[in-house]
Amino acid sequence: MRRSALACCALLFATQALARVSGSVALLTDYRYRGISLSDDSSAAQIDLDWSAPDGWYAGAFASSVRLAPYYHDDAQGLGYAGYARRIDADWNWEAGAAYAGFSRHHQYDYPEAYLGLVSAPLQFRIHYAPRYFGQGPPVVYAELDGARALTDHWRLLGHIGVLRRNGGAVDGVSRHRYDARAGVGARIGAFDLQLAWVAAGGGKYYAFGYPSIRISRDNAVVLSVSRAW
Amino acid sequence: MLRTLVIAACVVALAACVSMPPQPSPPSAQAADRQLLVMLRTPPPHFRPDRNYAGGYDPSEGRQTRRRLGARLAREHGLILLDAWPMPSLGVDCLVMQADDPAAARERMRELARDPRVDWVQPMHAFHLLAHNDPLYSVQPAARAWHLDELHKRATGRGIVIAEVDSGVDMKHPDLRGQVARSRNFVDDGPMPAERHGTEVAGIIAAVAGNGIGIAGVAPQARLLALRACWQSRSGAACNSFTLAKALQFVLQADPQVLNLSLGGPRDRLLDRLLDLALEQGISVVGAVDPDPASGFPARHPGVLAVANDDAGDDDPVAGELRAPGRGIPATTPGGGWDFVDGSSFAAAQVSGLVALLREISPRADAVQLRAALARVGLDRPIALGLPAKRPMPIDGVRAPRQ
Repeated sequence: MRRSALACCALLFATQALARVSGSVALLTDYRYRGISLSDDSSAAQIDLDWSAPDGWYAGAFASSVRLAPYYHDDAQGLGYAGYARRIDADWNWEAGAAYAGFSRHHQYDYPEAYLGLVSAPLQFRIHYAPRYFGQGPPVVYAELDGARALTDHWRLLGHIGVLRRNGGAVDGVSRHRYDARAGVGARIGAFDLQLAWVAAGGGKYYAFGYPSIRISRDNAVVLSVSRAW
Repeated sequence: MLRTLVIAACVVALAACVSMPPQPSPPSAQAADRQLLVMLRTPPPHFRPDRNYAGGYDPSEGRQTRRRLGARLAREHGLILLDAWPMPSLGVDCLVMQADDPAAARERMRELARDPRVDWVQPMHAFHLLAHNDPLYSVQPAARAWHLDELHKRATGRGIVIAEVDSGVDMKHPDLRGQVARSRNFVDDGPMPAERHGTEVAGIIAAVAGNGIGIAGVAPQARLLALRACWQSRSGAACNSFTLAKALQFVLQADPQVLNLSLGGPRDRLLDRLLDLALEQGISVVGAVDPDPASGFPARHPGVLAVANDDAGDDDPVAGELRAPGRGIPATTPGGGWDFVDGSSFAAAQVSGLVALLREISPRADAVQLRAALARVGLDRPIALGLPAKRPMPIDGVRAPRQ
């Protein structure tokens, strides 16, 4: 028994020795989540901590300042995630995981989400499923494709398209789909990463999907962000 | 709104204040025998809510983590961490560590090989470019021997990308203007310097045709990826395992049709694995044959189109070796000039151009088909290319798509 416990400890220690802990802090002029502002069209600060092991297991936590309906007070979002990723070949790997988003003042918006992904260096495709989008919304499926292309050593083009489909939450005359897109440039300057992106969203009205907003958020926005990873 | 503007101003000011890292000098070839390449297995890329669509091959991604792990590992083994680079195609991070002397490096290598955190460890190998550069040795333009005028009626390399892993290329040379699609410097953080060997090879492959000056490249409408992995020094031009691996990793991401390696050196586990991936990816790899029989990379790597001078001896040829003119080849030189050059480097460069023409005609041709198209099949001596009496290319180039 004691030997087994020691072996388990040794294995855990070995895994920890191989695992990587990394993180980032970021400032954004607007926290756009799938095209909708979660910061009331104003600035936000974010922090992320990630643990990942070479065998594919990973977990992490993310926090962001937010401003949500109905009072738009300063609030905080926390998001925990865990999953497993596995290489398919030199270019591609698949992953599966789950995340749970919670809010410090507005627990009614807390919700879980699961995802599957196919990831390569320049392209990332993921499909997410949330049974209660933002706690009070209908079940939704969100499919997204992200891409990046290096222009030079320091500059790159960024692109994203996403489609959100709700399966319920019937609201007369409102489409079941929302779309969001993002196009921008990223620059690596020293230890900092700068991104300037144009974000657009459209389709069914946000309230039919459960988004924590009662104001009409601008459909299009230009977002500037700077982040530092460690 | 005011808050947003203030944050935006802070963001820009913060970024502008960041000083660029100092520009290191090229690696010392003498230090290679006390340096080790240590590979650490990396976790696969995965979901990160903070990443804001920041995908792509970005060597600075995870740099801090990589350096932190590498520095700790180096310290534990009595080594100094010099550099670190991600090799996502192999799922490893490549760390360069240095010992006090070559004997200590060998001892540390044995220790690191037993460390469970290390995927594998290998010596840092030195490589060299294969040029003699005897000016005006003779005037024997290979273009004439291969009847490029006729060939260019069928193909000029349009739509083909050729990666040239070499020393720096003079991209302002009038015969190379517009021919370089992308360039990267893997030797140091500085801009691409105009160096001799890289500029010569670039011109032979893809110099502008019909511009009234200089030379016509074998594939004048192909585009080059100019990847500096070698550097010019007083003792010649050199590369090492690390700079070459960084360039090959870039090649895997960029996915060109042709890769030219006019260099030679010992077999190297890291480079062999990257080259295997390039071949699996369908990239046609052309390597110059090093006259030194101890040299294994890249010409003796299976699947590589190995090219020697057509006047090379028949002692110990590389299996399936191709022969091409390697003396008196006109080439572009840094500063906007031209010169005649000699060496298997330039024989290989010409074959890279020919392969680009064949890939234009027959995009899916594999290495076997290309070799058959490039040479007379069934010869049991090294295969001769470009001999006027045989003129294999126009005929075989047509035949390649049918094979």
